[in-house]
Amino acid sequence: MDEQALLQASKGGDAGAFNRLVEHYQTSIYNVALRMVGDAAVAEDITQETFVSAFRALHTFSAGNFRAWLFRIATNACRDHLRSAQVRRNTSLDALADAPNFNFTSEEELPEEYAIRRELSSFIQQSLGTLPRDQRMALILVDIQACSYEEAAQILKTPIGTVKSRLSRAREAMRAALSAQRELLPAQIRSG
Amino acid sequence: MRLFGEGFGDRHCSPEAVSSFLDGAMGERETRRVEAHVAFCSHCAQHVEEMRSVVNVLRMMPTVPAPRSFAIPAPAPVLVLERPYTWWRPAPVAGFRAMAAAAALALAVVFAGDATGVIGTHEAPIQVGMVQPAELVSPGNPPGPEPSQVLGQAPVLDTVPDGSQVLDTTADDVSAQTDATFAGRSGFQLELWALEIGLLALTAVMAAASILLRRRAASS
Repeated sequence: MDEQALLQASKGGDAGAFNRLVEHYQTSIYNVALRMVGDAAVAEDITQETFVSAFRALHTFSAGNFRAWLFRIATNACRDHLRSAQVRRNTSLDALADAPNFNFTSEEELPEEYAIRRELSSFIQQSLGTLPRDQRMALILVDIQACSYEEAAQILKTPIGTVKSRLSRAREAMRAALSAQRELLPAQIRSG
Repeated sequence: MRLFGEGFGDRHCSPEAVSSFLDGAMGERETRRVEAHVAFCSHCAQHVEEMRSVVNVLRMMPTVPAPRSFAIPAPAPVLVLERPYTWWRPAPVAGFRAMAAAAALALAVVFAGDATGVIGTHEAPIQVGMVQPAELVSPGNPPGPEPSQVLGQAPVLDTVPDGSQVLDTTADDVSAQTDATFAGRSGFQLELWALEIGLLALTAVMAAASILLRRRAASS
């Protein structure tokens, strides 16, 4: 995929070219939104909103990291949603308790392992929901989406030092939470 | 970044140092210091291992496939809505401008005529409208100019040799006063100065109106 060529065509109003970029990035954006809000339906809405907003604002994107630009739009949409959802906190917590439909299936995996992994994933999602928004976002971007510090700083519009400190605090909180649920950790990690 | 804890006698690695150490985001010198510390401090070694486990677990989080395509629909052709018509929009503005120009031109002609004495003088006003009454032609009368019929006065009927009656308007009392009455009803006398002032005022009003409307159109 020639991203630059598709971007140029998209800027000229070619929705087909833009939709090829959508296909490429939709899973990443959906996963960021899903981890951030913990609700599959809301994550879908945010993902769609992200791409529609991106298409409309494409003329403002001059050059640079398109993925970071998309992530920035998505994180802003998540932030807006969480801000408005703060008044209906109970709903949000209920949603977090229901693990999204994670795809764990693996041919070598035993049913018990599958069940544990599913439980672990639900637990992590719940723990993510207890983190402050900024820390959660840093953790999702760096540890789950494998963004570099520089990229995360660009997305969150904060200095790299701030990303580092938010990330370390988020990891500490996750460490504390997982220490209490060591039985959920995969064997190689538990022993390792 | 602080590598070690802040408390008195607390020489363990700070959480931020452990986090950056795991990501390899430290300078070479700091990395060596942390490595050296972890080598003999079981507390920090355990901290590093636990943190490593957390990072590994998070990185192993499964990627959830997108439940559907998020492709955007092809944008519909943009409909340019016609701006609602407002009375000050271009056509009336152009009309006012044309009228101002016409009035200015007329003023210039009149003024030039006045200055050169072509149109008239201030002592001899311009007659606008009818002065001479219309001719009344009736069968039996010889062709030629006829005095006008005075309004309100009964016409005099003459008998001609063939017995028919014709309208006779040659009464002697039809005088210059009659002409004045007609002129007063069908026309008027216009002083040159009044015409000039009128045209000047018309020009000014039309020009002012076109400027005002143009400004309103620009600001809307």
